[in-house]
Amino acid sequence: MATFVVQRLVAAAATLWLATVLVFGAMLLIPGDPAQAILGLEASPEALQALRGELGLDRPPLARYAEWFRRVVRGDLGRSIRYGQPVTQLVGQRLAVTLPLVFLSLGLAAALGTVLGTLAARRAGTRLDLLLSGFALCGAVLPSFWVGLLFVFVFSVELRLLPSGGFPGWADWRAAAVHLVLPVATLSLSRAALFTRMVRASVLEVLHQDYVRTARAKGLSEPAVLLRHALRNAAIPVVTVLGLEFAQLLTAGLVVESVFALPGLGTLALTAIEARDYPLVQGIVLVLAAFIVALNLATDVLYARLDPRIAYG
Amino acid sequence: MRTLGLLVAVVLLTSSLAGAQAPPARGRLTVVINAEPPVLDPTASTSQEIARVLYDNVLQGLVKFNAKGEIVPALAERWTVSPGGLTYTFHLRRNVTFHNGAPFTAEDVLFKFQRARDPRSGHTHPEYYRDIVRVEAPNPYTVVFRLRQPDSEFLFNLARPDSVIGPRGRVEEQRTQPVGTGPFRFVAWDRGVAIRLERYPRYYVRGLPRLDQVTFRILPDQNAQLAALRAGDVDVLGYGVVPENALALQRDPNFKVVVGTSTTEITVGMNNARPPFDDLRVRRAMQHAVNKDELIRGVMMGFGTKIGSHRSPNEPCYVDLSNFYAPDPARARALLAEAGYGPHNPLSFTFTLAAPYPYERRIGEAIAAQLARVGVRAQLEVVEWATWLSRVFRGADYQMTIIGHSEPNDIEIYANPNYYFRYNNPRFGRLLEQYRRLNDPRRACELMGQLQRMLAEDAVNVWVMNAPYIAALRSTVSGWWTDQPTPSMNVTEVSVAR
Amino acid sequence: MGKRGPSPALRVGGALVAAVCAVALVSFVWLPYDPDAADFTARLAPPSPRHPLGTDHFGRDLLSRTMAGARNALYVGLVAVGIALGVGATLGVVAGYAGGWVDRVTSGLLEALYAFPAVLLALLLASTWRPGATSSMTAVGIALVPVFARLARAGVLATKQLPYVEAARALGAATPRLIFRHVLPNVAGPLVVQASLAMGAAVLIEAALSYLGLGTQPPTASWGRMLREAQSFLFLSPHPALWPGAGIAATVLGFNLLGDGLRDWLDPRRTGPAG
Repeated sequence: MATFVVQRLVAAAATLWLATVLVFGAMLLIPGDPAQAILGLEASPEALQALRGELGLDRPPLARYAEWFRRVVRGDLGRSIRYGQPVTQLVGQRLAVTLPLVFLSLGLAAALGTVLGTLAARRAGTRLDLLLSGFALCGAVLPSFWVGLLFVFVFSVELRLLPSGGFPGWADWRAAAVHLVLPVATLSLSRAALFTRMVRASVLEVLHQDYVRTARAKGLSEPAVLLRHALRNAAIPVVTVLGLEFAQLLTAGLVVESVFALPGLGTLALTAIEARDYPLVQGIVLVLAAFIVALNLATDVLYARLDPRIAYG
Repeated sequence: MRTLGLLVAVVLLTSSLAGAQAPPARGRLTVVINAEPPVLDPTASTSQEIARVLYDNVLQGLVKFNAKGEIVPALAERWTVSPGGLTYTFHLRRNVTFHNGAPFTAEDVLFKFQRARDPRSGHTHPEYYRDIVRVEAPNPYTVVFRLRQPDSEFLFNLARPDSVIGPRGRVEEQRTQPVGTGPFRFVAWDRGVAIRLERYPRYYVRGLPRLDQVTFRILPDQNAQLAALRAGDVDVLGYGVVPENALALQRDPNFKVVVGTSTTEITVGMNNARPPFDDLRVRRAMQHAVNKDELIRGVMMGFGTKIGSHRSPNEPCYVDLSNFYAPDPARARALLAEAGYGPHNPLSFTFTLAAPYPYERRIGEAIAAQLARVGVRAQLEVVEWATWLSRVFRGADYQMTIIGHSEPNDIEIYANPNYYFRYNNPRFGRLLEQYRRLNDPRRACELMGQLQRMLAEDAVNVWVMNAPYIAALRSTVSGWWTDQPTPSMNVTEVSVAR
Repeated sequence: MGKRGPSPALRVGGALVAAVCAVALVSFVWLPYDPDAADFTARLAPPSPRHPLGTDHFGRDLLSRTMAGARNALYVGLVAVGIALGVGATLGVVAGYAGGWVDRVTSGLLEALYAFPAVLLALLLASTWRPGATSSMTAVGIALVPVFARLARAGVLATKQLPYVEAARALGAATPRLIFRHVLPNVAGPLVVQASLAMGAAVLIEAALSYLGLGTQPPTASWGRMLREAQSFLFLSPHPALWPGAGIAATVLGFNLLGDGLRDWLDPRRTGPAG
């Protein structure tokens, strides 16, 4: 187990490094100039040149990457070109919105998916199955910008129950939570379908395995069969997807963040890419990659727990 | 008759009394803006988003534009111009303080213009100030500008957002923490979310501003904007409301839609140095193929005013050239045939649209459809903003594009052969220079007319329309500027009824 | 129990997918109008005999555009899912089956790819090729590779040690044969489900990317972009949003039901519905 973890940690570090190299290369290939984004359309060539020099953009790419890397090793992600603030501060502020949004949505979607999926699997092929699957699909069928707007018009404009968007900050946690209700509902609805399909498929799969038949034959009650055998095994794909979905949700969250004007990491990433804010893009990707790597690590460990057949790689 | 006169007098008297006793400033306002400014100092970046939020609200210069576009006193209470137009003397307002408490004096003006004239200082548009030979301060409340040669645009340039004055010695900090002399004090810039201002209690005009707090909230999505206004979360959609939302809000008694003029010319840019648009006949064919009335009616739902050159109707010395080329598909085809294009050899090129601008993107799509009717294939390509800036604007690596030019009084861009239109006509440059040096306003206006006509004759670009200024307010909000003689959401006199 | 015919899911799903494919095929040979031809005098017209589904904000015929949108949707889905499934499943099976350093290197690479923002990838492809459906969908396909790879790898790991697979290996079955006969059928289930969902998701992601100017380029009809455009006019006239919405719904629903039905039907171990 220890060697397994050490190996995984080394691999994780390599992965993070690779991600930053990929992103740095991509940003170099895309046309665009952060100095122009700041100074505007009518900026004079002299002013542009001066700002580029100030930002160190006139130096060769390799030297820029090397310097960035040296700083990162010391724990300094640098300053955003667009905002002039430390990248860690900006990313930290945005994570305080995005992490709750993503984890709450993920949890809600997984819970909804597990319940609906198990029910559908138990009644596979019946009308209830079709109904549940159809209901779950509604979320996947409708684009989230559409669902979000629908919620806003029903709950904010017509009923005036919930705010239409924005985020007041966590100082007032009640207000903050209220502002997250509609975004979480929108985002989880768009992912619930996936979990429902997954759980339905794997519960079906498991229900036909020999050991479940054996358990049934031994006279184990149906709920016990479901809980002890079916769901435990059905959890494997859910856990796999959970780790993956985190990253997906950060992207899908982008649309939700912009519909609800939430100051999250997704909109920050978009702004950073648009402004060609190299340090900010790099910093965001590094933080994202760290999260994904950590989640995948956790997933692998969870796997081993859930399924004793999987050996440590 | 007499009673009526008396009645009128009484009404006038009471209304003026009511005005005098108008309740002191109370209330807060949330205004939606479509895009976030890159910095908060109009002398550090030419982005129009900065002026929209800060011009005259927080930052002021010696003179400023009022709601009608007239140049009126700001930090200078009056000024005189010498008969030859070479000396401008400004008498400064006394008892003005910056938001950080420092008094405003001639020293601040000297510091400002020393920096503005230095091309290495990073100040925007140093060319606005290049005719200044010397700035002197005979006493703390008088400033004298001595010019090298007469400049008919000098006062106009001093009213621009670039000419705002901050405390002397403060440059770097102004980019993120602007300190000015305006009715509102900058409070906070919550990156990506909002910019917050609050009433400056020591503002030099009594009774102003009328609001306590103003928040400019960044919300680019048009549907989200509409929802936020309807849900009561915001009070004003500051600018760029799309026509369909304007129509929807006009039907609702809870909201007012403000429709006015702007200084934005929506311009179909053509690369005059590259085939096919290096050929005047092809450029003229484009003028005849585009039907501006149809675009205004069909795409903009009636909002907007057609134009025929690079100037907006509310700008001084405007000449209406909107019918210089009549929409005439047959004429367009004939011109194209002359240039060697026809059914067997159709004209085909790439039409680059910038993603973030909804008016322009939609008009561009419609123009492509109009061009298709005369057998021209305009292949649309939507690119994101940074790509547009570097490929089209800077590199002139394009054939046709469309964008709004919102800077006021900006015809001088055609004198620069390296500008992205790549228009190279030395006669235009000479005429412009002549115009700037004239000290006779009437004659200067004539030359400004000739400049506009020259552009139309050369068919440099297709100037589609003067973009409408569309804002939407909750019906309780009053005092909002109807027109945009300069991009600005001036909230000095805005108030909210209860 | 015994062998049964196609399930309702398979039948409904198959019918929906077939309908979308049929519309797409017809659109190649016949359309009522040129889907890109604008008529500004007839904008946002409600359904009428001349325009059975009405017209959009440029006065374009919505029946023609909805039909043309079907082929675009299928194209978009096939490119994205084809790349993701092909590359992802191969990498996942190889990594899971080979194990050891091959597995570690592949997994590391996939994780690095996963942290890479899809928008950035789309931008990169759009600026080096030409912005359009192909570049954006290739980006989406590449971005989805890790999803399929991980699913495949997990499936392989789980089945590699099943008694009958080990037995087959002990009997000396060749590796390709093992993979195709024993491992792949076990992995196929989740992959098919994922692919069917991804098919619909691709249409939606394409709409989101079009918003940034990276998806299908105007004037080409794409359901996602049509929906996005129609959304602005919802308060003036709601009908233009209806048809692309219905198209997306039918496609996503169809592929999901089809995926489920196919898996149930093809699975050799399953002979009847449970419960």
